[in-house]
This record gives sequence, structure tokens and C-alpha cells, in this order.
Amino acid sequence: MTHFLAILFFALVISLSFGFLTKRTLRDRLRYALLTFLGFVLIAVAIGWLLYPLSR
Amino acid sequence: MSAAATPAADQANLPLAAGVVFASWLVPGLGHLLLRRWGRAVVFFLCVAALAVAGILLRGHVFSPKTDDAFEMLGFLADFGAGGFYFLSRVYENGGPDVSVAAGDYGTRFFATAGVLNLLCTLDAFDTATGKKG
Repeated sequence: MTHFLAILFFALVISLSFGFLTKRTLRDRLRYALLTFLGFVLIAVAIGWLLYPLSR
Repeated sequence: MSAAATPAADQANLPLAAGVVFASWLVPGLGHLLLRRWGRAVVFFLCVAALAVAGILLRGHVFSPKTDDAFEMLGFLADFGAGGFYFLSRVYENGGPDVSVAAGDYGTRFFATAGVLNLLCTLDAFDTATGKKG
């Protein structure tokens, strides 16, 4: 499993759970899950790039 | 405020809520299934199961309660939240944990996340059973 696949898997599962835990209608749940998923992935990639100089 | 959310109704629902909490902890989603919340039951089971199974298959470290280390105890509490999957991880032979590679480390985190997520779902089931949440 690559690092990126791991973050995609983690983000998908957690965002779906959060959507169903916090919202009541299906539309709200899916919208919240999508936003949370994008937030997880984009922030993880951004942190990865920020730390990139330290890995060299 | 609905009748189901009153303190008296909460008291009446406590035995039901206790059963739901135990069921929800033991098998993720079962508490919601008993409360006829089909959608949440299926999603919570799939999400917790996916994380727990991925954690086991990636050979993550599942913590044991036999430890003097506070951080390992915290890890155990998180893992134990996964209920039935915790016991499954103790009997499933997968060559033991291997955290010398990134995959094993991910496995450790995935399994702990499954446990904490299941605890959140259990709290949600409790709130639903006592009428605090629809």
C-alpha cells in the first residue's frame, strides 16, 4: 500500500463515518463527507510538500 | 422537547440503551440495526470493518492489556474499542505485527482508528436509544 493510497483509504472511511454521524439527511451527509474527504487529502498533501525539504 | 427526550423517558430507556451500547461495541453497527437505523448501521459496520481488517492484514500492532507502559495502555484502550474485531485480531494468525515497514505502522494506526471510530458510533447509538438524537 502506497502512502497516497493509505491517505485516500483513511480519508474515505473517516469522512463517510463523520458524515453519517453528524448529519441527518442523505444529501447533507454526502456533501459533508465529500468536503471532509477533500480536506483530509488536500491538507495531507500540503503537509507532505511542506515537509519535503526536510527529507532530503 | 419531545417526550422521548425527557429525563423520565431517558430512565425508561436505560436498559434498552445499555443493550444497544453493548451490541454496538461488540459488532459495529449492530446497535443502530437494533434501533432500525439501517443506513447508519451499514455504513458504520463497513467503515469500522474496513479499518480493522486493513489494520490486521497490514500486520499492525494490536496492543495487549498486559503492560506497564501508559502509552501502550492508551493504545490498548483504542484497540479494544473495536469490540469483536479486537478479539478477532487476537486469534487471527498473520505472522505477528511488523512495524519495521510503513505498512505495518499504517496497520497499527488503522486498527486504533477503527476502535475509536467504533466508540463514537457506540455513543451515537446511545444517544439514539435515549432519544437525544433521531
